[in-house]
Amino acid sequence: MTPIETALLFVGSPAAITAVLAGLVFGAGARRLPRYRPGRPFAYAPVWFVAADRAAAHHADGGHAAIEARHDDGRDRTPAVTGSVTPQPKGGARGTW
Amino acid sequence: MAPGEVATTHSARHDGVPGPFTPRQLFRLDEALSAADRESGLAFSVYVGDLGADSRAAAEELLDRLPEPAGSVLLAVDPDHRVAEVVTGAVASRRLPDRICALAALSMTAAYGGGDLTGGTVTGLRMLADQARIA
Repeated sequence: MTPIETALLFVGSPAAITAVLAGLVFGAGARRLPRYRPGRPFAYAPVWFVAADRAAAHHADGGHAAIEARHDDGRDRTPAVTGSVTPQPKGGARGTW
Repeated sequence: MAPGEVATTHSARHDGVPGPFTPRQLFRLDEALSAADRESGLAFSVYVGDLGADSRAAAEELLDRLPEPAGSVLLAVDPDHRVAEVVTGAVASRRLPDRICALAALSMTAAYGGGDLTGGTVTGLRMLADQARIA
């Protein structure tokens, strides 16, 4: 074997294998969304989710249609005036971590 | 997306909102939200984002912006300030006493402390929906 062949075999091939493994490990991680970790900054836009069928009712024209649609599914609920922001008594709880 | 906008998990998935959730996590959230709504008859919603220094006031203001605040339950999570707020409207609070909400908040924050935003939210939704279940 020439010195060039020896270098290729003992230096080149381990380097190639290392590069492939590094690509597999870090390449997959780079494509994934960075996971939330407590204490690290949370750099995402705020999101607000409602159930899909209810969102469809919100987009129906006028509050009346939305209330009608909700009565159809047999649920008993108090219709609230859409758009009013009068504060009402609220309950709930808080948690920190 | 502005804090006032309401997204469904469906639209977020399809519009490709660069949020903290993967499509699979969005699917889990969607299922939990739909099940909670169906089982309890209350309007559940989940907010994940900044609530500012006065998280309680911000979360209550968000609830008031919903179309039916009285019958709504809002789970507001601020991962930056590490605060989770459960807010119930006037009608919803009769079926979900503060004691129950505190228990749900405790379970949620246990998961959030481990970095599991989806799991904590799904657990909170399930616990609250179980308590408010229509007999």
